Amino acid sequence: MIRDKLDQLFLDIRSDCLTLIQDKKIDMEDLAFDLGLSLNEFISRFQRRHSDFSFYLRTYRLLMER
Amino acid sequence: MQVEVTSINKFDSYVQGVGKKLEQEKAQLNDRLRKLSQMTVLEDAPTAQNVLKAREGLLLLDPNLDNSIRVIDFFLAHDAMDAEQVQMALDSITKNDYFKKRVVLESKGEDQVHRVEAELEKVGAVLRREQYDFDYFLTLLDQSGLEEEDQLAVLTKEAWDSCVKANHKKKTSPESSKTKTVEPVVQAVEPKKVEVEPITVMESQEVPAPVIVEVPHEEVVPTEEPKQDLFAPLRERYTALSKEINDYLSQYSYLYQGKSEKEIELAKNLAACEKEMKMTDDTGEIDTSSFSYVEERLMVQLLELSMYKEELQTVFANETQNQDVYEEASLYLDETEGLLHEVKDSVDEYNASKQEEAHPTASKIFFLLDKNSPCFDLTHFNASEKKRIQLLMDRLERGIEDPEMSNRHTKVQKKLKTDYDMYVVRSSNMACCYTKAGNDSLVILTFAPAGEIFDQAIYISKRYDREINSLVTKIKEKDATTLSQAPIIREEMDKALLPKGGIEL
Repeated sequence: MIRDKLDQLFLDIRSDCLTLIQDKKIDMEDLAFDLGLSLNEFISRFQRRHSDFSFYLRTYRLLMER
Repeated sequence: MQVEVTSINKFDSYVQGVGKKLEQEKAQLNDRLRKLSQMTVLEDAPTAQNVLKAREGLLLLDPNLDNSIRVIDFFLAHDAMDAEQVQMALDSITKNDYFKKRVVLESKGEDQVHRVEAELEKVGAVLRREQYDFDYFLTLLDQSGLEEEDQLAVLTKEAWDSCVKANHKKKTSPESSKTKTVEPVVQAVEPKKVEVEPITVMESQEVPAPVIVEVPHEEVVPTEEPKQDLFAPLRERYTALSKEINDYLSQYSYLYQGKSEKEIELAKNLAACEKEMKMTDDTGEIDTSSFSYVEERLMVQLLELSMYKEELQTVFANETQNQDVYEEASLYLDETEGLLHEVKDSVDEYNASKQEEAHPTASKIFFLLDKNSPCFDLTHFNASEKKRIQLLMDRLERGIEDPEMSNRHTKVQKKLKTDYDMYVVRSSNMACCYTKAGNDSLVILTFAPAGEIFDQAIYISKRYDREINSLVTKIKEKDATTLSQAPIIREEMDKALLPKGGIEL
């Protein structure tokens, strides 16, 4: 099922992003700002899979660049 | 008599409404008190877990704590309470002494509940017409908005009943006139309980990554023509498409070639999911064309395009004149053509965004107006915030030449599609939301604290969508009135922002 695959992709990228946020001591408000989102919206997209996967790709890239 | 009954019904209906409102107010007050009582947990032990338990109470005391609480919640949900960000958020919450504020609010809340309960008793008594407060009865009648004749009918009925009761009282024992227990007028509304399921991280499963095979650019030409060439029209389409695909893939290959392994893996998997979805009946909730970050969207679409290219190569390399293969080839061609349209759109948007980023000129400032005034109220800001607003306007006028513009500048992501993009530029805790109006002008939509600017931006784009479009059009068309109005409003803004000449709080 594609839905299951997408769920798994979300869990994987979320886990990677979370590790980077912790390891690099990222200020989440700053990160949300760079993504053009409120902190509230940013966090909600990590709590539940958002259909716009480009958000996770962009977040991961920004985290890698920091 | 009929008039009298109607009038009384109207009045009772009004009084019932008053009772209902009071019941709601009581429920709200009790809810506030419940939230405030959560605070005792935090006062006993100021831990991150207790911050979450006292969340509603904390937010009542200071809505600005929302972000700090969300940060704690985020890390707790992901089993990462030892993260440094958690301690920082906890410190920012516990450094304030909310104890005194809570005690004051609780005491005030309890007084309010008593007041509402007392009024509810009065309302109940009026409705039952039993030992009610006549002054309160008159106040209700006065506030009911009933016509004078209705009010008179109600009063007449009360006078009559009062006489009848007086007579009846004389004939009955004092026991019968005891006050009955006051029943609630309207059943209090129970607040709905919303249970949020905790998020658990599933164990990682490997997702098969699609293999992208590099294919030479030469076209496949069958060596021998069959008698009835079923594939001829398809081959023509394929030939035309191949060139276009190769052009896009070679021109924008840097988008995925320069990325980290993890990004490419995710992008390939997303591309594979969408392709699988198109080829099967599975509705997998993925639509790359709706991805909001254009560079990432284009990267995934190009990877998907290369997958279709591979499929087409295989089909046309092993071409057999058979109906199944024909249908397969036809389907691949249809899907590839559709995807190419999407890629073209993304490429246009991507190139436009790159040009925008490189645009170096300064800007003339316009303001979105509502009834001839900007859509923000400078009196809401203190002196320090006003200084930041002035700084932000200067920065916007200098444009990209100001180095801070690129550092503290972002594009607002919004669900609602609009004809214009919105941007936010930030200086310390203040931020400005604006949209562009041609190459040398911009429209300031609002100023707000950085923590609120994105919500404000989305609100404004919904509320003033038509006005923004109209203003941007007028600026682009160099409408004389609009152009002449801009410096006047700017001057008014400058005056209002001056420390002495401006509006002081």
